[in-house]
Amino acid sequence: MRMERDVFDAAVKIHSRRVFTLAVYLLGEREEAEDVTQEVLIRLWRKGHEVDPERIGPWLTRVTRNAAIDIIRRRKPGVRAVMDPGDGSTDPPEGSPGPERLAQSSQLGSRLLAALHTMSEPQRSVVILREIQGLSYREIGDALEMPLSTVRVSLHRGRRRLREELREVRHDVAAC
Amino acid sequence: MMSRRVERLTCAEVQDRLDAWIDGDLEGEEAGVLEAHVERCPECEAERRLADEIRAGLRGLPEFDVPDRVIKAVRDQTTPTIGERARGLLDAVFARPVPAMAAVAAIVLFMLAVVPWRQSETPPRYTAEEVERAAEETKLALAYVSSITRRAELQVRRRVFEDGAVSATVRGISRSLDWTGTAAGAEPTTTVLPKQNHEGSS
Repeated sequence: MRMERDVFDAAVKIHSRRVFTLAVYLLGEREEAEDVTQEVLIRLWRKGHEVDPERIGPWLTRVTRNAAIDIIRRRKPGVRAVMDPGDGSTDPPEGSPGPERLAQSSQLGSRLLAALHTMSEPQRSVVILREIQGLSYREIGDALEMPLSTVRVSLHRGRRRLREELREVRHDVAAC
Repeated sequence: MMSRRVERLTCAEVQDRLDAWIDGDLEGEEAGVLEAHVERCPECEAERRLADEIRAGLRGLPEFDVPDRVIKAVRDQTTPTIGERARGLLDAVFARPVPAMAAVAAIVLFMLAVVPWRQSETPPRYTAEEVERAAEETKLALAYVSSITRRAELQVRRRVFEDGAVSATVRGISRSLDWTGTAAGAEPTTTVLPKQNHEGSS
C-alpha cells in the first residue's frame, strides 16, 4: 500500500524545500543533503499512508533529522563539513540587504555555520529549526518528539554556545 | 510589587535570561528590570547586542530550493511500473470479493468471445493444390446432395399421388364439408386427382 499520488505530490511541493534546507544546515554539505532529501521523500512515498496528512510536516522533519544524524555518525572522526552560507542559495530572504551589509552578513553567516557545527545534538537541530526555519517551540517539540521544557533548555544551551563561539572569534580578531 | 530577587539580578543571571527576554517570554516587571540593568551595564549590553546579532544572522541565512535532479529522481522512483500497477489493480479488486468474482467472470467471457474471433481474423494460408482439391470435393458434395434431393422428391411424389397417401385426409375433409354431395351417413367417394395433371407439372 502506498500514499495517494496527489497527497504525495502536494506534500513534496509544500515540504521539500524545508526538508532540503534542514538537511543542508545539519550536514553542512549539499550533496549529502540531496541524498538525504531524496531518501526522505521516497520514504514518505512508501510510508506516508501511515502518517496523518496533517502531521506530514513534523514527520518529515523528524525523519530528515534522523537521516542526517545517521550520516554524521558514519563520517570519519574529525571530518566536519561546513558550507559557504551563500553557496547554492537560489532564493534570498525577503528584504535582502545591500552589498556592504551582505558582505558583513555573509561573514557572520560563515561564522555562524562554523559555530553551529561545534554544537551537539539536539541543540543544533533545535537552533536550526527555531532560528533559521522559524518553527515555534511547540512545533519543534512535536517534530522531534520532545517535551517543551527540553526544547527550551536545548535552545538556551545552543544560543549560549553560539555566543561563546562568536565572542571568541571577536576576541581573536581584536587581538590581531 | 517587584521581588527583591529580581531587583538584585547579577550579570550572570541577566545574561542567562537574555534569550527569554529577546523571545518576549519574560513578564513585564522582570523585563523592565533586565532592561534597566542592561542600560547601565556595558558587559551585559555587549552580550545583548551579540545575541541580537546572532539571531538576525541566523534568520538571514537562506533557504534552499531542492535541485531539479533530486525531484526527478524522486519522481522516477515513485512512479509505479506496469507490473506494480497491475498488482495494485488486483489488490484493489480482491479487496472486494463479490465484485472481484464478477470482474474475473467478465474477463474470462471477454477472452472466450474475443480471442478466437481475433484469431480468425488472421487469414489462413493454403497452397493452390489444397484450394483446387477443396473445390473438387465441394463440387462432388453438392452433386451428391442434389442427387439425393431428386430421389427424395420422386419418392415423395410416388407415395402421395400414386399410392394414395392423401386419400384418408381428403375423405375426412369431404365428410366435414359434405362436399361430395352425398347424404349424411352415405359412404364417401374416394377422390384421387388425375394422374396425368400432376405428372405434367413436374
